Amino acid sequence: MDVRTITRRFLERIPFTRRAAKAVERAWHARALLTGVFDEKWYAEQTGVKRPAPAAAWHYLSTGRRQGLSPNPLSEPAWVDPEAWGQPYEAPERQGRPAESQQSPHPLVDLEAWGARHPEAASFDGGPLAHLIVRAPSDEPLPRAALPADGPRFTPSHVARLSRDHLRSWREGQRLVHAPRVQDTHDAATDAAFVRRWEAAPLPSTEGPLVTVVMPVLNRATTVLAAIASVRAQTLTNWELVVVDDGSTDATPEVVERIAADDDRIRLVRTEGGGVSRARNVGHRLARGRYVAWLDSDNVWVPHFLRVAVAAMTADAVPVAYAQSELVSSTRRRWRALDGGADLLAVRNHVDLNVLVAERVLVDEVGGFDESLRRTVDYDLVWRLTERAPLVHLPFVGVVYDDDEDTTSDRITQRELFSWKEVVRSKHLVDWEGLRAGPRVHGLTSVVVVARNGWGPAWTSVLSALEESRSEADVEIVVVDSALRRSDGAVLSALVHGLDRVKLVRLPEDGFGALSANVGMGQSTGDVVVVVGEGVRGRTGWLAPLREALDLPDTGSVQPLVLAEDGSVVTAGGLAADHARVPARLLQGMSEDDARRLPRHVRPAVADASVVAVRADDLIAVDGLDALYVGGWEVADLSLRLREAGYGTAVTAVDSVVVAPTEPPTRARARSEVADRRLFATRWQGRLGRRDDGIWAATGFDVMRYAEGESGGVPPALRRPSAVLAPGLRVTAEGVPALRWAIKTATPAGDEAVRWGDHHFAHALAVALERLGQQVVVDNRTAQERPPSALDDVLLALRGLYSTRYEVGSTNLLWVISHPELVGDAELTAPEAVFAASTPWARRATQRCGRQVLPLLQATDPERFNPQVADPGTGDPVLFVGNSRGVYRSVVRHLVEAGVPMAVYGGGWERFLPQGVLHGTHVANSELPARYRAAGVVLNDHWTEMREEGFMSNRLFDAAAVGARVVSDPVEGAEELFPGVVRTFRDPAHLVDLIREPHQWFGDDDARRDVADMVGRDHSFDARARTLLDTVLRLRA
Amino acid sequence: MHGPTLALVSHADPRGIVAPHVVHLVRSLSSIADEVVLVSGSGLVSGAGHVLDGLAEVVENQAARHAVARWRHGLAVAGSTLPGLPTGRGLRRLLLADDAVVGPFRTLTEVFPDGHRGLRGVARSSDLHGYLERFVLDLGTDVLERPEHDGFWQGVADDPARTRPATRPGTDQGPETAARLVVDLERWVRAAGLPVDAVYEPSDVDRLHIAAHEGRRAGRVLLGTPSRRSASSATARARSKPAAPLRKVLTELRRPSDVTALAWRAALDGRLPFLRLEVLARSGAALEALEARHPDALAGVREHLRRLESRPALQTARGGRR
Repeated sequence: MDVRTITRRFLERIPFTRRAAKAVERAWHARALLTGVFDEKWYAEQTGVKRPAPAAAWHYLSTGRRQGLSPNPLSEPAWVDPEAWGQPYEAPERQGRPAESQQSPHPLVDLEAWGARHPEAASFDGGPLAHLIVRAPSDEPLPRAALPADGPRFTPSHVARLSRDHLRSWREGQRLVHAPRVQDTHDAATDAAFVRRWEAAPLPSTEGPLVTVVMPVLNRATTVLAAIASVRAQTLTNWELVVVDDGSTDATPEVVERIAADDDRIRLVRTEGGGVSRARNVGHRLARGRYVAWLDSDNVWVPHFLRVAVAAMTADAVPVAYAQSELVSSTRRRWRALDGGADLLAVRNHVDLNVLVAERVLVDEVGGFDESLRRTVDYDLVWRLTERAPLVHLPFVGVVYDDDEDTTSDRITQRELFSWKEVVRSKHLVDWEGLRAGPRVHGLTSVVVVARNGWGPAWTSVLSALEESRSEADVEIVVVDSALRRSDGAVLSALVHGLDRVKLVRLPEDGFGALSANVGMGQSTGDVVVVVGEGVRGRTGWLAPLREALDLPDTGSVQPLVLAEDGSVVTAGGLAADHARVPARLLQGMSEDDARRLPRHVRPAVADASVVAVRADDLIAVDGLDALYVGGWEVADLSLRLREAGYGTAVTAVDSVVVAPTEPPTRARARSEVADRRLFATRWQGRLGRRDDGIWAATGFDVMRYAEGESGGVPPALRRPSAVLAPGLRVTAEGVPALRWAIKTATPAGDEAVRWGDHHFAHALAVALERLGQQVVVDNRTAQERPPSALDDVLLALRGLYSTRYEVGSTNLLWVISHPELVGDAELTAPEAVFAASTPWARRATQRCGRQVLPLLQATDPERFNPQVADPGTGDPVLFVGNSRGVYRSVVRHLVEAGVPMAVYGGGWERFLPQGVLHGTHVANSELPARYRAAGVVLNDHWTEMREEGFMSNRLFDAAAVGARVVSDPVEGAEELFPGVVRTFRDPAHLVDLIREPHQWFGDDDARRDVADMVGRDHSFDARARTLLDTVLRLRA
Repeated sequence: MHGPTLALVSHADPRGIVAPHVVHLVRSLSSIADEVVLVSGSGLVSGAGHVLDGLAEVVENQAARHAVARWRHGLAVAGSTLPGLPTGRGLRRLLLADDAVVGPFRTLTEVFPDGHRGLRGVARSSDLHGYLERFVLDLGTDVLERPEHDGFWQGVADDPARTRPATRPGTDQGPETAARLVVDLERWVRAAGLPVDAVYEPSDVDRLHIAAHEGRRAGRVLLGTPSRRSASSATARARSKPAAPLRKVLTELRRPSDVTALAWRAALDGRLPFLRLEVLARSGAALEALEARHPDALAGVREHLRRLESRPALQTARGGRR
């Protein structure tokens, strides 16, 4: 222990010096950072503040690290937790640790590979990263630390340049996003000078050019008075005011008419509630002025607004300009005074319509207001005007805006959805006309992935698509960085850099799902677009079926079968359900095995998934996803809009399977989701389609009714209904009931399950039961208590590492196939029947707890495991297939120590085996029978508890079924059950003897074939299924 | 400047009587107005209006659910006898008063000297970010001659919900609606470029008192203790909480302060010519001093307050005051 550590620990014991201790610690870290790792120039670029290196390092440690800043261009905190990659510098005593324990700080920098290539890096002052930064030759490409492993490699200088380019681009975006739309201060001197100058400036004529003021009004009988009075008080007198009453039910029209009777410059026009855009357009059509200005009925112009604006505009021939607004509330005064043009508009609207003045002809050219918009109509108009003429900022206050909450609560801005802004952005950020006119690449599938929650979930989706691109050549991927944090954006940018098939688009302001996807689609070129949500992991071959299904007649959108992480179905499509306002989900919560019974393609009412495929031309024709949706319902809406537009209905391609995250959303996300539901329900009420129960028929269920399927968080009227199912009356060809079985296993969810023997065992048993006419689903341990469990007639628990909760009303069976030491006596009493894959254990358990436990040994699948799969003696002389389980398994260790040549396949063996023994980390299940059959001898062993309790492993049955020679650790009954095929060893010497002289100890091939036939007949899964079914029928009789 | 001066008084008493302070108010108004009309929105008990015989015309309109609607009704009633009404163009001045105030503590001639052509009120409201209090208003000739003035009264509906789209369904918007309408009135007067003034503007000494009051309020918020007034009740003591977190403190301090809680100081020397009943009800010992200084205006007020306190319907004039 060094002096520093002793000092620190001493100081930490005293409360008053604890803070000092932290400071000391930070100082040490700063010193470590300064040993080559910290780049103060890079850091200054991030913070915008130049500091000397020690001060910058100190700032980084005290503040910057928590803010996600990076100490050098080769380190990204979003790639590796700052605490983790900071360790080498934080704790100098650990700087000398082996390079392989370092974590790579950047996706394009594999620090472990660097350390392996440069052993001296481990002892370099500052650690391997410092070594890399200081010593790396600029022309040496670095191995990647990220998938795909065979992706392009880059030199450190190239990676650093990438980081700097991204930072610059990101900072420019941030400058726009954080431009102060509303300011707390106002340059009164400039304002006054501007007003003085242009108030005195001469106008083209004595009265000046005519200005038409358009004022829409609705139910503001007394409020409108101030707005009108402010127009009448203008120092520019050559104006006309067109007040458009949009169907007021109060005295507004009479009030306006009364004033108009006194001032012939004022006209009242009445419309019948067509919305503010239509009202303004009606007013505009009556305009006669050279200029047009708009004033809302609750705002007030300053008296010189028109005079100053028009004087300034006519002097410089400015066709469109805007002034500043003053916002007054009960507590403060603020100003909208941002000077900017189209670049700012791409992010947000900084122009207040109440201070906008434009030439009437220019407004005519752009077609006035878009009447399809319900909010941010001014944003849209300003954007379109700006596309025709430069937007000029006039630095004076033109309007006083009542910003008090009490008096503004009935404004449009508080009635309509805020996401109208995204609709406007979608209109202008995507070149729809260009897309309609441009050709698409035939046969190319464009996958669009939107990244909103860090780089990780989006990259998962991208990798899934990249995997597909390996088998299917014509795939391009467009990733949209939708306002990711800097470090996340930098990581994503680095990950896709150099990948030919991947494009990256960056949006500085979040576009939510729909707008961002539209922007991504705008950059795509394929004739089919697949929009993929974040965190989607497609099962191999998931992409092609989506594209193929689009070729079906009357098909507008295609979704895959979506599974949750636990393997249960999230949705196989949205269904119209009685009078529900939102769709139910086909098969929601049920097992994937239920989905296998569906036809390859089904036609739900709605595509209701985070993945959807559509023809690009169709998507463009309907202007993409509706950006009004911000909570995930845009896909469902799109599928219905495509249907309504005649492009075809929704289809679910059941053979396309993806796993999508179903984490509970944040509170903000939940609010957006509810808002989306409300929008969807309002828009599509009564138009979802007719309830179609036939779609359930293939699953073997009848729909009794639809009930409320959700609770909490969502208003009752917007809750998804769920189908109340009943099993149809079913009888097998043999005349016995076709029951629904749920096999509960201890396997984990997802791809990892295939590495578990229990997984293959359960599925082989399921196939055997299905051959007997039964309906079977297999549940992994995370899906054991899926909601529709009550539909299961039989619950069969394959007891492994985890126990199962039994279902009331089902026939519950327990089959102990492994880990008997975990099974207590109480567990044996709950189910109606108990089996065990060990005759001696079953006998002892029966005696011990008084409950009959029937022996039912493990089994094999003779269709796969039979002597015909290969010729004996053509494979590995000695074969072991299995993971190390973290221990040097004795049957392998004995032979290695004895110098017997052998082949091991499995994971986790690297640290135990000498070179040449480990032949692979995995053997595909399909290859296993031939490997066993071809091997000279197959090795087998058991967990100690299983061996002692007589639980013969499944490997014994599989190997015996192919007629292999099997050497196993001693397990009771094995040699008797498999005579001449399985021999057990007493000790290491006996093991070596068995291996070296197999002909002496095993039967010849004919004898082994006879045993194999016996195993295939008596110990097949079919035999076990028959036993189980007979038992269940007896119990249910 | 020709034409008559009209004074309109809005009256709403839960007991259906005309309280002594209202009589004083009407008497003062009648001293400068050619005609005074009191419109009662709550219904008067038999003979209650006789106390105003010779001072004002008393009419009832229970459909008028807020003060501005009652004034509008009064305007229409007066129109039957005065020339130029109901447009208002024939008037020289229009005085609007609400029975929720006590006063004046000076003669109205001193409070509202003749010759002002715009809009005058008694004081500005911090709740309404500087707009005039709605309780006593003086509309001058220039205001009355504008078409917006006619439009304003045309736009006023009896029912608050019809006057403005309801923003908080189920709440009594009477006082709030009246306050908003008066804000609308002042906004167009300002927008038209006409003068808007308040009789009472806080002096530097008043501002010091207000600052001290704010300091005490901040202290109470920080310590989580109730004010002296509310601390007198056992319930309030039970509600006493430990020190509030900073965020809560800041939120509380951002709320507009109730500066007229100190208004009785200005009322003592007559600079503030009217006080709301609500303020008097909370002024504690100050009421005694005010009674001594302004015995005519305060006559019967203490008894009136006591009776009102025994009823739950004491108006909390949200919109004009918390």
